[in-house]
Amino acid sequence: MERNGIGVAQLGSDRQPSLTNRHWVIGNTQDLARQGIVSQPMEEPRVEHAWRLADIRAGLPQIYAATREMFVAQMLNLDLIDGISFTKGCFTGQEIIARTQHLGRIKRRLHRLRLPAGTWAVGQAVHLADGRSGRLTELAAAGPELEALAVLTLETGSAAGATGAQERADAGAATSTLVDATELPLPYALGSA
Amino acid sequence: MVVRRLIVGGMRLFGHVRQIFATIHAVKFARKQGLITTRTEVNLRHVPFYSALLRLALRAAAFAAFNSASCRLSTSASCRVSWPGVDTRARVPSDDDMNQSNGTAAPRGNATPALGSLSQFGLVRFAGPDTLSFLQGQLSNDTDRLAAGAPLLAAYSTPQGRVVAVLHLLPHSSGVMAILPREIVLPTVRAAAKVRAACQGTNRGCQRPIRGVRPKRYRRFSGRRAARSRCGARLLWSETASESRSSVRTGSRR
Repeated sequence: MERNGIGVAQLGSDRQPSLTNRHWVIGNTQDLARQGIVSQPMEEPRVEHAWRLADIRAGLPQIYAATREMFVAQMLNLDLIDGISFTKGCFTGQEIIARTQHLGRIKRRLHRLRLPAGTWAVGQAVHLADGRSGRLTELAAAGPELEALAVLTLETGSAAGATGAQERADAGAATSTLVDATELPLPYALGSA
Repeated sequence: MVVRRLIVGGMRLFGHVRQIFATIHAVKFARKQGLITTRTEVNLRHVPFYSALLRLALRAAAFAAFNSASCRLSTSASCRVSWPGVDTRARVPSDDDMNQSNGTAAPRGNATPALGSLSQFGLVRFAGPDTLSFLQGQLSNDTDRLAAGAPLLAAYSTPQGRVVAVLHLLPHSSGVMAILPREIVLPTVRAAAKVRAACQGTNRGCQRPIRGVRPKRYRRFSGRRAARSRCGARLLWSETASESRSSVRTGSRR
C-alpha cells in the first residue's frame, strides 16, 4: 500500500507465510525523513547482514552478479515460494521453466547450509562430502560460522557424478571446493527431493 | 600556458571539424585532400568522441531521473507511522532470533522496532501505459496480482530459462517498483532494454502475442526518454546513493 508517495509492502505473500515478517518501506529520502520514519536508522552493515541472514533462513534466493544466468527458476526454489505462476501464460524463459516443472527434471535445488568459517564467495562452486555439488548463492555470518544458501544437486554419491562434473565444467577449470558443511532445514519442504 | 592550451584546443577543434567535413562530403574528396586514407579510419576516429558525449548525457539523465529515491527496510511494522492494513505483529527478527541455531521458527516476543537503510539494493521503476503487460511477458509471476495491489516475487529469465534477477515487485502510484541487488540493476535494465528493442508485438519463442503490447514509433535514445520503449513501458533505475542517505541524517540537503 502507499501513502504520501511512500510505499510499504510485506515481503512474500499470503501463500508463503515464512517470508512475511519483514517489510519494505520505499520512498523519497526527504519524504521518509519528514515522516520520521528514518529518524534512527540502524547502522548499515548490520542492516545488510540482518537482511541477508533473514533471507537465508527464509530460503529466499537472491541473484548477484556472480550468479547471473546460472540457474533455472526452480533451482532457486521459486516454484515453492510462490515466485512462478504456471497459469499466467507466456513469458521469457517460460518454455524451459514449464518443461522443467512438468517433466520432473529438477535436478538441483536450493539448500541451506552451515559452513565453517573461512573465505567463501557468492558464486563459488562447492561439493560436499556426500558427493553433492553446487554453488553458493547467498552468504551471511551467523556467530562463529556462516550460513549459506547453495544450489545443490539432489542426488548423492555416484549418481550425482555426471551432474557434478557438469557443474564443475561450468565453473571452468574445476575450482570446486570440498566443504565440510552441515545441512540446515528450510521453512518449506523441497517437493521433489 | 593559456595561449598554448588555446592553440592546442583550437587545433583539436579544427581537426574535428575537418573530419566531420570529410565524413559529410565524399570520401573521394577527403582522399584527394589527403586528410584521410580510408573511410573506416574516419569512423574509428569519430566513435570515441561522440560515444563519450552520448554516454555522459545518458548517465546524467539516469541520475537526474530518480536520484533521490532510496530503498529502506522496515523490520518492524510498529514504526511511528501507522499503515492501515499492515499486520502489526509482524516485526524484525531480533538479535536473539538471529543467534539461535535454527532460525526457521517464526520470531517470538517483542523486539525493539528496527528500521534501516538497505544500501545493497537498488530500485528499478517500470512506468508507462503498458507496464503490466510488458512485465507479464517478461516475468515468471502473474502481474495481475500486482494490479490488485499485492507485492510480488518474480524471476526475470533469459529465453533459455536462466534467471537473470529475482525481483521483489511493489505496486506504486508512479509505476511498478522492482527491488533487486544494486550490483545487478544495470545489467538487468540492459537486458530488459534489449528485449524491448526486439519486441514488436510478439514474444519471440512463444506463439501467443503479449497482451496489450503495441509497437510504438522508434524514438531516439536520449534525455528523459532514454529508457522509453517501443512497447510503451518505461524503465527508470536508481541507486541508493550515499549522498541521499547522508542527507537523511543531517537533514541539510534537498
